[in-house]
Amino acid sequence: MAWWDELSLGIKVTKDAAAIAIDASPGEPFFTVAGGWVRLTGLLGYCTVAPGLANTCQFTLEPDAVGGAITVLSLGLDINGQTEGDLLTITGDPGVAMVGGHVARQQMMPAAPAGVVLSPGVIGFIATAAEGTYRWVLWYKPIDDGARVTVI
Amino acid sequence: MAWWDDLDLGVRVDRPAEAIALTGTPGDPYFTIAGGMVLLTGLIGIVTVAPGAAQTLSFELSPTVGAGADVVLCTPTDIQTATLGDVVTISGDPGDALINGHLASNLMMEDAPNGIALAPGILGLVATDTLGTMRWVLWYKPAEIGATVVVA
Repeated sequence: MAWWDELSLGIKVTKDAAAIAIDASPGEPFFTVAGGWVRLTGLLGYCTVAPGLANTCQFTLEPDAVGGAITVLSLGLDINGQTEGDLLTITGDPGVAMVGGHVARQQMMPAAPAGVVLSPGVIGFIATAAEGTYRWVLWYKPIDDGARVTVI
Repeated sequence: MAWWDDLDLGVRVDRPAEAIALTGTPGDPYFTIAGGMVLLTGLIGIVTVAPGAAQTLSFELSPTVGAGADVVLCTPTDIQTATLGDVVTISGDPGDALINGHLASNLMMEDAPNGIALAPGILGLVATDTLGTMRWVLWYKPAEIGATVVVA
């Protein structure tokens, strides 16, 4: 990896705005982690179309390794209260729900300022309803040479 | 954005010293966020003329999007005891009061070491009186291409 991959929050990956689809665990594939371990340092969603109705969402990681267990990156949160311009994120603690609400500001990964270690796999987005449209920004730092995250 | 925008605390924006104006929510417009989401990584104020009497301050974000809700970056606090050269700042936790007192040093964003994500809008200073003069320094990192913060 290049030395500048370690600057600030690391490498930024953006996912264009897309309508949320109903997906059970392990969720709709959003990002691929490949080539080794990475540290997830930020994951931020921007609401472009309000859900308007109940929609409980959370992120998971489905590991590539055979026998790997699907793990959550956050607990579920009903994003019904969000409107255009509101922000959605995770704290970094997998035991804590996603952070949303009708707010246009969010603390970035306050529970994991050094990041969340992820093995190669697919980061998926679970949603209980097809309500709302979001665009996403993910930041990461490679741990292993060749490790990377790409949008699906 | 340039790669150096992500170094250290990011891009610095200075607001020259001026008398505080009595302004209710969402506050006297101090900084404008435009072009996309940013990560606020620091916000400090330096007292150049002591308030001398009760003066309660807080920061709010008024989102550009019409449906957006005004949100606080900190809860209000009285800076009466601050004198020339004292420093006020925010912890990064919106539930914490603006950090102040008769102090010439303060921790920077101790509760949000990776910053606070902000949607486009106006950062305003809410003040309960016209007492005191301060200058301000804000640091940010663009979370999206084209996102900027400028003095309002």
